[in-house]
Amino acid sequence: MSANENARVAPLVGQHVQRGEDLRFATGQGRFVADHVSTTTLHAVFLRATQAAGQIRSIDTLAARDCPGVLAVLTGTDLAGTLAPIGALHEPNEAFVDAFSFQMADIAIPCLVTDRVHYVGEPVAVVVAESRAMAEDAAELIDVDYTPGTAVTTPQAALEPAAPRVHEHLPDNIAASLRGGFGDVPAASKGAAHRVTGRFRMGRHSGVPLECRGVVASWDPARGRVDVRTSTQVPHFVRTAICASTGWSVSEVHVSTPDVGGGFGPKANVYAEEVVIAYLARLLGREVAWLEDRAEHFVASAQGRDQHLDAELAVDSTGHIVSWSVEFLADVGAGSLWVAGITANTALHSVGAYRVPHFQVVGTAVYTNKTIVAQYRGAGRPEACFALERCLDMAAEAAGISRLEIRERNLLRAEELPKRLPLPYRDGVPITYDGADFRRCLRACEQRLPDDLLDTLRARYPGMYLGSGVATYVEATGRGPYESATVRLLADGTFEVGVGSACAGQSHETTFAQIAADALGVPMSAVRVRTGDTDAVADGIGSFASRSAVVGGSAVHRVCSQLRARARELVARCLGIEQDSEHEPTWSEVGRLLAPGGELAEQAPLSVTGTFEPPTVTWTMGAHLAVVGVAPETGIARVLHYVVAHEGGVEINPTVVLGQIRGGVAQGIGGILLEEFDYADDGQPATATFAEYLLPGSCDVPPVDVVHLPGPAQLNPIGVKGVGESGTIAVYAAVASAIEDALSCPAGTLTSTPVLPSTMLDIAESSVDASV
Amino acid sequence: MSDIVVDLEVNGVRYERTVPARLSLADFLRDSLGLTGTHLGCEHGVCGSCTVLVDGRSARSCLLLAAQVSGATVRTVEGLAESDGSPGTVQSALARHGGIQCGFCTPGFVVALTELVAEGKELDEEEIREALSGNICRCTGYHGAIAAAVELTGPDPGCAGCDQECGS
Amino acid sequence: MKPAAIDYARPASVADALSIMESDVEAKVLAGGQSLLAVMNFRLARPTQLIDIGSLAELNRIFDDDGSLLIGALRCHRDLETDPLVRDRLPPLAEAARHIGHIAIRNRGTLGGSIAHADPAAELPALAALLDAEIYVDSRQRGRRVYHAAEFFEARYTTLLEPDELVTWIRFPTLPADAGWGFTEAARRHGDFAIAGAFAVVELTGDRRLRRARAVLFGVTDRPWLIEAVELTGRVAAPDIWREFATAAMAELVDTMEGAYRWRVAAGCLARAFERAAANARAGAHE
Repeated sequence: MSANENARVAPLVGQHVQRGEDLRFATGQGRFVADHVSTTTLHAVFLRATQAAGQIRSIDTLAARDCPGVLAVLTGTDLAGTLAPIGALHEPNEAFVDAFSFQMADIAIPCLVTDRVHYVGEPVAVVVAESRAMAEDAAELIDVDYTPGTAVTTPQAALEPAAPRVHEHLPDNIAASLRGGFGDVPAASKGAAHRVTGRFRMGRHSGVPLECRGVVASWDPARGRVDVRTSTQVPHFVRTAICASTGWSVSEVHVSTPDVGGGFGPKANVYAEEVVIAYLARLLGREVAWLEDRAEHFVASAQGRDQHLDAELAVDSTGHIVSWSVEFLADVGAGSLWVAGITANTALHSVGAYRVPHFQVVGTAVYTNKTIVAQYRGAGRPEACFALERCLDMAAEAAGISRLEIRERNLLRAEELPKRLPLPYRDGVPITYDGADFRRCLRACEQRLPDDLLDTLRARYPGMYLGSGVATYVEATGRGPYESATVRLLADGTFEVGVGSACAGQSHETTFAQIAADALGVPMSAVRVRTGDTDAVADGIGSFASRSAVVGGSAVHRVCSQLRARARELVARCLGIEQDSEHEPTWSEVGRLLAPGGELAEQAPLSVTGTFEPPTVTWTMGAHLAVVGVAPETGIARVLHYVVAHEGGVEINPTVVLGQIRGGVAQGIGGILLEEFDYADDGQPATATFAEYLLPGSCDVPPVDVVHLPGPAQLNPIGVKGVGESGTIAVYAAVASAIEDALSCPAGTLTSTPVLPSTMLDIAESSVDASV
Repeated sequence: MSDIVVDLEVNGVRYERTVPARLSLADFLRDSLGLTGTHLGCEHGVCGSCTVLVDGRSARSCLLLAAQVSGATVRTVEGLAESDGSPGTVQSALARHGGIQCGFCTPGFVVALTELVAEGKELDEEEIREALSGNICRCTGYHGAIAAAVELTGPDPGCAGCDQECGS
Repeated sequence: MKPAAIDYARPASVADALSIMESDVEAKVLAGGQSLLAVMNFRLARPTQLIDIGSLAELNRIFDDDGSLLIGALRCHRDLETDPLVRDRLPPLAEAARHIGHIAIRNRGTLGGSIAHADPAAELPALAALLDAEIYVDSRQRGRRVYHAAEFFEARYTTLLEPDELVTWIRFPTLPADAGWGFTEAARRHGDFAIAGAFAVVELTGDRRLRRARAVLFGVTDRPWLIEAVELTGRVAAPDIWREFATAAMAELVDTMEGAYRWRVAAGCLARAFERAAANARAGAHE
């Protein structure tokens, strides 16, 4: 269309465009799920299991029902025939299953348990009352009589032949298993000059978004459907789960996301509460809200990581990798709807950015009596990266070369890329690292650590032991199967764009608007983006796995380009006006022509809906460099400086890319130094408040220097790669390496996360002893 | 149990309401007054999302009862915008420096920064980090909030060293 | 996380507060509420009634007495931290206050509340114990009494305070002009409760020998733990004497403290607090 009305020359993609979201967030006008309740909204509270394992003998709800303001009290027995359990969210492609002999157990997550409890925090009953406080008053009076069972809280214990089973109907506690690789590891490693082995553990932690979860649902009698607002990254999955559990049809359920206060993976899951609240709204004919509080979040929201890895790296006398093998146990707690994705991620990212001739991976996901597990930023990748990078540090020491040198020698070079691995990705397509030059990122990190920076830091933090460490990562981003988008010209010449990728803080309104505006040839002010709404687009996948910019962004680009082409074709065909002629109407003129009574009214509406299906994932690679100071008197570590150099695609909005990476680094720092969900042997959670679960604060996250190096991204029309997890994956390994450097201890001393001050103090003191 | 009459000024408006004694200031602001900009992230005083100004000083509204602030003057994030609804100085600095992602912690940062700026002290970066340590942000890694604070409290307003084209 | 239902009273005077306290022993006094309301939100505390003394302006005053500061129980931490009078007359008190939580917490949390709450990891009870501050309490039945802070703290969250007694004033003795003080605290993150911390006060003679050296540790046992370095009296305050002393002084705690880590951190804190105190004392003696 003619640009005379909406004159704009430079493309918006690639610009530091200030976010459209910021105005409302800065002024307190954001509308999060809890902001959608009114004084007449009913509040639900879930009574949760207080035992990690056992049988419910009886539940007495009489006193609760008698409480003032209580409208309903329901138990699992009450809902047994009504709400079916929730099934798995991801099943891998057949080629992947074959290549990895992948198997997974058949479990589903019950909405409310009926007899057997599996973890502390599992929903047992629900109370609906006039206020949250009243519902809590009543829930306290519900008397649950348990026959305690024996809990298993580690995957090793759970795999013992005599271990109590977490799920009664299964023969053992194995949730999933896989085995795969290439080459011949045993034969190759036999003759290697150096073989290093490590036993690693990544502690259980998670996204812990600042906004807890929450659901507000109401029954719309006029449209005959339930409107569900939920703080999720995957509204379409939630709709599917509600329909599957209740038996309602798709047209009876509308799911939308309000502003979502952080997701990071735990909200890329569907939960019993979402189904139960939707059901209650319809049952009671009232608006019902459940707003998870922080105490609940610690037991009721899905957690992540929690892997044990045994690894062996063999290198030749010059430090070149000969073979690499990993055997891991993933503790998925009482269950995970993402078990296939998590175990596959660890397996598929184990090879890393290196030249690995022989590779073998064996993975087992195991049930324990702990909170359920979902993805958490990285979702199996940080674990794989930690094992490999720790072993590389050890091998460097064994081969007598530096930690940088061993990486320099093994990283895939420009002439080796793109690199195809003889393994299928989760989508069945053989893995191809579509990178440019993996050594570039390492070198860029090195260049960003001048000697005088270390001197400056030493002067600023006298008395601290300083050290630096590096680690690299690869990540498959932008996975399918598809994302959908829709665009519609409104009567005033502006556009409404809908995308299946829900937003949980990733700036979608801005970045999708940039893409749409460029494709339509209009300024951003002419584009309104709606995400996370099953009314906006009928189908969608959601935001997770660094996929939204790639897949959602491409879908937006595609439908907007098509709409523009269609408008021009329409104008040419119906009005006889040539493209780019001076008579070409503006978009608002087209809007008027399409309105009732207009010349083009019969052609209305002008809208395009479509999907983008990526052929497979596009890989990113990056290097992280951490400078850490450890206080020798206390063993308390602080990350003082950080560099991320990554090979990405087109930056839709460099400010957003920076924010994603910096935020990712902050979460990685939390994981390596502070955060862990801890459990007692009987399965009782020991992490119940933010005094025990420590989130990184403003003094814990250093300035993060980001180097963006463009790499090829030919698998999507906008040339982008995902960036959501780039900041997180390698932090664990880089910081662990830096701590070892600071404490001058042997490589591989640190094997588990979080690295506690007591551990660092032990090392600091023993190295002092050793030097004396 | 007892209901309490509270009489206070919020964002320049005087309110008188009868509320349950157990009602927190945060819930009062959100549920009774509809000022939902004040967010509840932990309800035990750690995350800082619910920070408001009570008689000009920052406070956790989850660790205050509405009854306690009867007679006080409260300002929330909504009251820190310009009268026409456009962002105030602190609010726009936070946005300009990329200090906002999901927006949930933002009201707490706006309030904490407002107090910091009002104190009028020149702060170095470490002092700023310490001053903001009571506000948790899970998205940004604090880069933008600290850059905003440096601009607002520094000797040389502007954003030296900022790698975002923040226009200041 | 909504508290259980409660009654609420907001007395207009100390006398009114004491009457309510006498009549309802299950009631809790609400000062800043920064600890109490958090545990009430978890329903781990459920008093029948809160007696909000927050508006008793009479207890929010500070007096500069001869050789002491007399501070009202409602003085908030942030004011202790920033008040020029406190910083000038009793700088360790300002330092102690600065290390409590975060600004928004310090704006509400009060001196009296911290003393009465008696968290063993808290800074203010520790400093009060070290300086043997006088804790003035009032009750309807017994009128005003004075506790000595060195004896006041009995165990975790437990003091000599009777249920009907209200902490109203605290008198902190200021330090002698030739005394030096030192403070150190270890915490995982800025503003966290201390893993361990220590205050030390060192007084020197004219020839730089130790006249008196004393310290308090917090976060290590169930109450502030006082140490008097009697055996060092008369020795030259060389920088290297404190490590050995700290280790020896803490020997008796080895078995009682949970975790060797905390013990080691505490020993380090104690030594450094003494080192700083001695260094400051010397500096003072030079002037």
